[in-house]
Amino acid sequence: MKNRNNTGVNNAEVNGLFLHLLSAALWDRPADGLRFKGLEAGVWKKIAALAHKQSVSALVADKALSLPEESLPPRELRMQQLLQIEQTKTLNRNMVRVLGDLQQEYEQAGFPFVLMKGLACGAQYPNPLLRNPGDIDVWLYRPGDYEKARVWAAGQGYQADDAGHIHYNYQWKGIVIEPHCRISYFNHKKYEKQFVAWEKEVAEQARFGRVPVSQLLREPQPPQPSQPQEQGQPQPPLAPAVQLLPVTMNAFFLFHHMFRHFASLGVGFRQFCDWILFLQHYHGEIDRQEFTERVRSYGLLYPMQVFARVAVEYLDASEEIFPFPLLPAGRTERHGRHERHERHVRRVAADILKNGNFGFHRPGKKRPPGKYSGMWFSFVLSVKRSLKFATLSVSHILIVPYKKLTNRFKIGFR
Amino acid sequence: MRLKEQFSIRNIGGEYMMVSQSGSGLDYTRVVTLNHTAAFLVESVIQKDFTEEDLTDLLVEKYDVARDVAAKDVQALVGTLLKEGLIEE
Repeated sequence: MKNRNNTGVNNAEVNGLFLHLLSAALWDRPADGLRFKGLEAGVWKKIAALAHKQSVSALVADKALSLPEESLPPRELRMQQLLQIEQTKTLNRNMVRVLGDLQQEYEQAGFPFVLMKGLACGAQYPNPLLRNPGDIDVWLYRPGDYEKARVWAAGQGYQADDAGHIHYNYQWKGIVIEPHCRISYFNHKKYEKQFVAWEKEVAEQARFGRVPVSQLLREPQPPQPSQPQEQGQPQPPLAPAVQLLPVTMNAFFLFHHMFRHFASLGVGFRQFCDWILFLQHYHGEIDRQEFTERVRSYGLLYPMQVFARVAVEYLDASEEIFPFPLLPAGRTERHGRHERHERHVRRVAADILKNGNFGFHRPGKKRPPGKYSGMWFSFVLSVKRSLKFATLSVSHILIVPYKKLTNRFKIGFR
Repeated sequence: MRLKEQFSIRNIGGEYMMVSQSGSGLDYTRVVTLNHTAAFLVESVIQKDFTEEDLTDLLVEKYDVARDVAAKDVQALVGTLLKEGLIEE
């Protein structure tokens, strides 16, 4: 059989087992032990490798270790998984501690901020400490604060590096802090203009959500018998709460950010899970009609519908959590639109599984080390990718190689 | 003696695994597996000062075993935890 490896289990089956554990973790339910009974060590290694590639290692490991005895991974892997879980929790605790410190520092310096993306998304996970951490992304929404905060950081001895045209970053207490002057941006002029106006409105109204920092450290209570009994963890000094983007903007932004990465190089399940867990938590607060119209006005409704269908079919998400009409399920007309969307759903899911977090795990030839050969390699890759996915969203995907090229010209191939 | 502050203990398929943490990182060498009885003792003295006598009392009370047998088991457990740096004297 195609793709069958030396474990006797083909890649589609490995993907299925991985997705089963991941969805069990997302929806906080037990995994089906029978599916894992007597599984070979090699298959378990593939599942663990896929979880790493998708940046959801601790979530998947935690579910694997909760299986009944006869379905558990081999003992050596169990030890590694347990350590992975503890390491992820420790990193998250550290990040939340640094977030609390950062909030105090920025508050004293006069830079109120909105916490965006990763760490804020953790609050929607059944166990926030199991989300693989990245950096701390903050939006400095008041005019001038972005540059002032950079000067402040330099004054503290932290030299910020440009990391794109809407953010810079610096290391602070061992964590990467990424202040943003914008929430996001669009390559397409029309959408960019619309988004700038919406962003301005959000910044001026400053009606932000809030999440208690303690919620970012919350573990399921009361602990289940198979869950770890953690004791004696030192409690970091916690700031009471941090500001978050308004719900509608966040639901839109989390998708757009993920989709931009998807269009460029690829995206992993971590970012995908962030978006669907956010919707699961907040869909009741989103005006369905207004959201649908808003998404449609940015030309993002169809790709959003395709990703939603991937969530339903591959991660067992409930259809109710999506605040927009879904594409029909199942196989339908052979030559009609339904068949087209089914093909897109399969392609998007396969691409996520294959290329992993930010497309970093793309199989095949790697980027050559030379500066110009590397740029050319990256450009050719983005052309191929945009052609492959162009029909998913012509206006958002076909423009990517063009923008990459013009940006290179603008900054003089630095 | 006292158990060190940062660790977690988890029942995985009937086997208890104890992981110690140090500072913001993890010491990967410190995973100790415990049986049900040892896990009971460890969980009983979390955030408490204790002696080998205290642990022996707990064992005798819970499992109704001869005191000298319980004392030997306690000695072995304390030896392991000391060796792995999981308790401080």
